[in-house]
Amino acid sequence: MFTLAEKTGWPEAFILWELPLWRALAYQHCALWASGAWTVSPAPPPQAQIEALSTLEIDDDEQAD
Amino acid sequence: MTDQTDSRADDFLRPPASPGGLQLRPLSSGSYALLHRTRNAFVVPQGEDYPDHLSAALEYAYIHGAPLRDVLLAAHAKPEVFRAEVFRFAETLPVSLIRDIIREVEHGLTAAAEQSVDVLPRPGSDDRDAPPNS
Repeated sequence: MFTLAEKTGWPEAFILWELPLWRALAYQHCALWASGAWTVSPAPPPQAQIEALSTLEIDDDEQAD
Repeated sequence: MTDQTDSRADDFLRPPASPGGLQLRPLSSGSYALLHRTRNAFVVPQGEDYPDHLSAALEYAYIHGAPLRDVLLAAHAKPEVFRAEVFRFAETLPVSLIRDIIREVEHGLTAAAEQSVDVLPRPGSDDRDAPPNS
């Protein structure tokens, strides 16, 4: 958060609560690259969670009841 | 542009989520920390028990949809107080919104995971590589 605040001047409350996490991470990645750091993707997307979530989808028939 | 670039551009242009008129704040670094603090099943492994994803979705909606001050107070209270606040908030939500809320969770977690990176040490950056007189 400090890096983002330093580079952009955005207030802490905006970074904490309004800036989407994915955008904060993307900007952090840019800042890391700009400072010469090497980065790698850490892991595949959380597919297990997504599959668990998709089982919760409610059928339209059930909603109509 | 590639499909991935198109997808990212679409994400930047995505309007704020408001399923059924319910204004949701985005999944942010602060709200992610709150999800962890409240041991939400979407972000904290639940061990042997099968996680209750419906409760997790309602907690997500509360954390991102209720007034921030109320959410912070509830998240720092006892777990039963937090659950009671979530229950009270959830009573106002139509069941049909659950699907849209789950889509929001999916999008937030997936997009964040895609942007997450680890930093690799550069060769020669380790203290052990430093000259002996440094």
